[in-house]
Amino acid sequence: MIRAIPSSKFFLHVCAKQSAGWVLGDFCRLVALQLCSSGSIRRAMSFSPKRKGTYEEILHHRSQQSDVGWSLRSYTPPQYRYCSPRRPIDVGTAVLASPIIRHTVLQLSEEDGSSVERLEQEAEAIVKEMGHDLGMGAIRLFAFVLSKAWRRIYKAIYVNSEHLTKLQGLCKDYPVLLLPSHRSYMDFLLMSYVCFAVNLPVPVITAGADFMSMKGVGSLLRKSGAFFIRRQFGSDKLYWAIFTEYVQSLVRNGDAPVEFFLEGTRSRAQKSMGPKLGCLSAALEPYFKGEVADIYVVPIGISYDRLLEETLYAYELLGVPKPKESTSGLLKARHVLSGDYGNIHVSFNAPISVHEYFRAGVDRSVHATLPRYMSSHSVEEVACTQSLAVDVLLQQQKAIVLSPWSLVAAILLQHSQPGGMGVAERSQLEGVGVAELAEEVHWLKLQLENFGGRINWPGGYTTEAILMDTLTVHSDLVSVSNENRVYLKHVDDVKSKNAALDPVTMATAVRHLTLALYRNQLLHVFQNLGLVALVVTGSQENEISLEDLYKKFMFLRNLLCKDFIFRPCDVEKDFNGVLLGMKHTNAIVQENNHILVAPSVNKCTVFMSRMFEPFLVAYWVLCQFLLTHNRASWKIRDIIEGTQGLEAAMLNHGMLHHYEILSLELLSNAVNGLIHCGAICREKAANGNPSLLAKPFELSKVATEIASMVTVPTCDDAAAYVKILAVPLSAKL
Amino acid sequence: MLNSIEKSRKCHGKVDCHSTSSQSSVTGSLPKRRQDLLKWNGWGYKDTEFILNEKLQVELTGTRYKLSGMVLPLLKDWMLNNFNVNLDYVRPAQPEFSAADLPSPVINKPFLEDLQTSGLEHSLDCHDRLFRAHGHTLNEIWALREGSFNRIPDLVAWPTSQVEVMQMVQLANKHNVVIIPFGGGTSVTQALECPSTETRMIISLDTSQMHKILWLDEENLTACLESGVTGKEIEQRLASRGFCLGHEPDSYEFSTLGGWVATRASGMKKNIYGNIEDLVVLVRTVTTRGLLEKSCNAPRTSSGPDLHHAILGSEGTLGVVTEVVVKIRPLPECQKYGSVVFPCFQDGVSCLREVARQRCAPASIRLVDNEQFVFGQALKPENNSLVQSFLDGIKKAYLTRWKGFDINKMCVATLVFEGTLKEVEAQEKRVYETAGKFGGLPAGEENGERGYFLTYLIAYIRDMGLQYGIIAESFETSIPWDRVTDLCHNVKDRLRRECKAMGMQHEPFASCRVTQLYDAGACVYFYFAFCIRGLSDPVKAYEEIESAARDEILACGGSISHHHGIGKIRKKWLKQSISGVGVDVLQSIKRTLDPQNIFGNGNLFDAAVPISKL
Repeated sequence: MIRAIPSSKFFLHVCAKQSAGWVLGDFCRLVALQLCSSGSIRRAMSFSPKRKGTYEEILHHRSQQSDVGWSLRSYTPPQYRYCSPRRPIDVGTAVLASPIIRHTVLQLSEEDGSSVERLEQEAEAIVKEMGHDLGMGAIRLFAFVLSKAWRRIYKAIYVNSEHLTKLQGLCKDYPVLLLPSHRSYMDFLLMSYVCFAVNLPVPVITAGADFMSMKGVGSLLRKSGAFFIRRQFGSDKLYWAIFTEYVQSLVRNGDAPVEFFLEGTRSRAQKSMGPKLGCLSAALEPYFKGEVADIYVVPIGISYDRLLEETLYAYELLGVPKPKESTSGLLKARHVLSGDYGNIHVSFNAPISVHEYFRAGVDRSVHATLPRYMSSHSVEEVACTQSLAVDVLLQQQKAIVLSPWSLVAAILLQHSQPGGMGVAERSQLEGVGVAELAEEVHWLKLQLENFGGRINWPGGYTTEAILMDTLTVHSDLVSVSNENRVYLKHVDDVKSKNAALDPVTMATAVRHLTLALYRNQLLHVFQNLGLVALVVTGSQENEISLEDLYKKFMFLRNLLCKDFIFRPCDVEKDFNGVLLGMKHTNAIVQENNHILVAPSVNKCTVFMSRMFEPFLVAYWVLCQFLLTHNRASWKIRDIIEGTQGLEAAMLNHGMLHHYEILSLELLSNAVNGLIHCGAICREKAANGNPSLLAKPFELSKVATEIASMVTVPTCDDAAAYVKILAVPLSAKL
Repeated sequence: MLNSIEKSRKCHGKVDCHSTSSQSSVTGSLPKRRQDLLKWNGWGYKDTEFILNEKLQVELTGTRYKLSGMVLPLLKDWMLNNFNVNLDYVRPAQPEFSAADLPSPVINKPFLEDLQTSGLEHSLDCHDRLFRAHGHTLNEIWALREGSFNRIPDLVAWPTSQVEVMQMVQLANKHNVVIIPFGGGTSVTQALECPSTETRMIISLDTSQMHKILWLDEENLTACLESGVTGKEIEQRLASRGFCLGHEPDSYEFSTLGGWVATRASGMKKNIYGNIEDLVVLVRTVTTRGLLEKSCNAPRTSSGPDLHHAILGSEGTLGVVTEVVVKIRPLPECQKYGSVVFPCFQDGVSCLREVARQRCAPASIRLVDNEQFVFGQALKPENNSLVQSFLDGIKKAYLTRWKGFDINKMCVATLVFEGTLKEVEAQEKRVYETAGKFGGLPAGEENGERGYFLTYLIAYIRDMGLQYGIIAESFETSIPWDRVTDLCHNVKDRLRRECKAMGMQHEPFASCRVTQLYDAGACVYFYFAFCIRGLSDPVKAYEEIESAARDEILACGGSISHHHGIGKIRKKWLKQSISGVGVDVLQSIKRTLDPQNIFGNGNLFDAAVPISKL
């Protein structure tokens, strides 16, 4: 049976940029529906107790209180002690009157002769476009509506309370930056909802300007604390100045915590992306300049048992349009209300004092001889900011509470035989027994916990019970037959803009990628383990010296640096740490300074290396693509699309079987990783546009190195893929 | 009178020709045996201290101050509430040291013989020596009350004139003996501490017997004073002739003119009279190479870098300041206190900034923060009049209820106006008008006056605190206007934070005031106190916290010091403050003027010490 996935009904239109509008548009409809529907359906809470460990449930716990009562309750969050209270509109006025804006306007007028009045008008327009309009009215309305709506689709929202008391105190003494992970549109509303629920001040939030254009929604978001930043404003000095001053004005006066997403955008692949530093360095400048005593940075990990956007993300990652829905918006909303999206976990990590963090590395007194409005970051400040950003991402990952479904997804994606049919295929055709799956899940859960992952695993239930629960939540992806076998559901054929991709391949890819999203959520736990496993299982020798292992480990870290978050300075520490862990769990056997290969190729290392294999395969195909196409310079887009086409062809011919390698994000990371390793180099073309130059020698070195670790098509296949290449690509390139 | 001035001008400072001033200078305000008049182990006069009377109320003893003999009924509770102290927990000071408790003097025999032959007055008495072993830095007072000294001066000398100072310096130079000039002894930077590694004999050169006004020139409004004269003495004697100097640092009862020059002192009324560098016309300094002086009393010269500035702030490392020609002013017709309350500190700072912008500051204007405002209220003397307390209640209600002031945020600016009646009226009007623009309300003369009295009594209060396990200290800085408020917030935060990091259970008292206004910035003065119960080494804890606070000050764009100086406690930041080249310049001046490091008190930086002749 082909069943539409409820979340897909949220997203009428294809384009990722427009999808935001639909999510929120649907929320408005939800509101309408909620207001006329009578009462809410409360779910059984068996797997979602009110309190577990340090986590407290905030969606249901007000049994005596009505939603109206709750949303109108007295709400007195702590306030920054040096805050001079002001209306949102006053922020804009203060920004326009600030020395830096006055200075920038004068400077620009001197540079290009445009009149000061015109520039001032421009500045005013930018501030107007940017400004938030946070008010308790909108917050209370959201609190009311979301309580109703979410209780329909979520079993529970858990918030960990261990750092909340401290955080409430800190909000009084210092400006606070809330830095949540960003994996769903929901994050934004969720954070404000959580803050309201746990009596933290509701934040102002940096949002992408694409939300803004949506009628009605834009102003609703402004009222709930969003301020809008254009995605691209590279060399616009005035815009840059206004943006930084706007953020800094909020930090300096501590009107409210400032929330933004370090990764810049939603991580569609569900694993952390490299940090964007613009907002963070702007927000930290008041500390560097001594305008505030300290700033506290709070990493927050948000995880959803099931994503509202799961299929949308799969389509976006493949770069294909999503099929249009025909039913009306209201009906869709009604459909969503019947969906089951499991739990949400919001984990506040320990707040980081910027002062303590920078104490040793930064001398703030270097700013003493320049006027304060002159923006300047010392080399040390830039380096420390970068390092803080990476640490925050790592903390977010650490805080994230994984869903058992991530384990299931990882297992379903595993291929039983290299080159053969994977569980994913099997589970579509013949299914996997629940008991078999439960056993695997249990094993993977142990590994996860051994290597520091956190998982939502309610006590007192058997693995099978937990498995069945999570399978129910994801019944749009999998079904359980009467014979207790798990089947993967079929997806419609998918048409792609890229002519090289045929609809059947893409349909399989959508299914795989949807699973990969959830698998990706747990990869950070195993990222170092996986790299060691790749080296060990790929080895042709009887033993590997630690030195060689370390070299190859380094190579992989460098190569995969855009796909995973590593602290470059911690490479040795991470290496030793993971070896120790692997020895303790008998995943590797070490004698003197050597790893013995035969006993070290075992269930754990094989499983882990297979989990990371697709990444290397994609990198390898990309290398092959560049090596077989002799061009003086490349655009990144051409490389990615060409490689995607090549991958599709190879998948069609059965030479490869990891459909997730078609992900555009993965390929883009691969290009950047190869740039980092020096196999591709950036240069400026004659017309001034940036272009890329492939370096064949380095590329083939990387390809050979990869081929030594994972299974890739052999040389015999070479003729075949060159033939494959010739057909679809000649038309395009 | 005119005659005598003519005469004094001719004698060029050699003899005091004026009979009245010569009479009053027979005994200076500081006797040779200072410990007879002043506390040996605390601040100020022996007869003046804060005690808990039998009713367990704080009372100020003696008769010297306006509050003397009065009861301060609110102070004890303020202390109990702010420091979590317990009156049962007392840390009494140790009994006075006997000779056996003190390091025995290092004697350079040939020097001592020469000194005895010369007839210069001196003493080897252990209490005389101990009194000159310290200033009033916290750890020095602590050493007196609960600790001990490794090194104290070996001999105290009392020259009575520049000529005698020159003799002393020559002798010291000849025998390679260290001289540490000692004025009022009010240093708070450990500048008077004897370097513990010094093996040579150390002479404390006490200038207190050089306290004469050598001449006074009414036409040019200048006076030549000997360097050992205290501020209070100067003002009293000049006042009797209808003049004033107008230099009133908080320590002015005890600190001396020479000390002011040596530390680049700043006076409370600098807005009218200027800081010490603005007041001096000519400075005579005895160095090991001879007398350093200028040739005329001209108001300003262009003759290469101003050598006065090498001496100003030299902290006793280059020589002994012996005579100073200063500017004097006719006594003002009228002096009036005033005060303004502001809803919050930021408003107060904005107002002060505006006053500085308009250059309409009265003689003194100081803004104290909320903590100090509350503390000031706790210093109100006992009120016997029902009417008065009723009125106080109404005032408070008016501010908080009617004007919406938050008692936990409001702060007060204290004012001193000086000039002719008309001038004072005009100043008052302008200042109160400006304050009004920032939400300030005039709060009466009494509040202002109490604010200034607090300044003179604060060190006495510190002594009482020590008795109950509270240690307190002050430090200061100067900073551009746009950073003043942030500096105050950040430094107070840093103090609280460091205390917490040391495991202190109770928040410290961290407070500040803006005390001086300049065109480009202000001077900020911090008070900091905490309860030491449970700390194994309270003084070390204090020093670490102050050091962290200074780092914070520099990070905020503040200076290493506005007027206290470097001494020994801030040496580590000197290079950062004036660059490596700057330190080299100072080093080379030191090498030229004092190659043997006779003036070896070790302030500012570590001088390259020559091989000892002993």
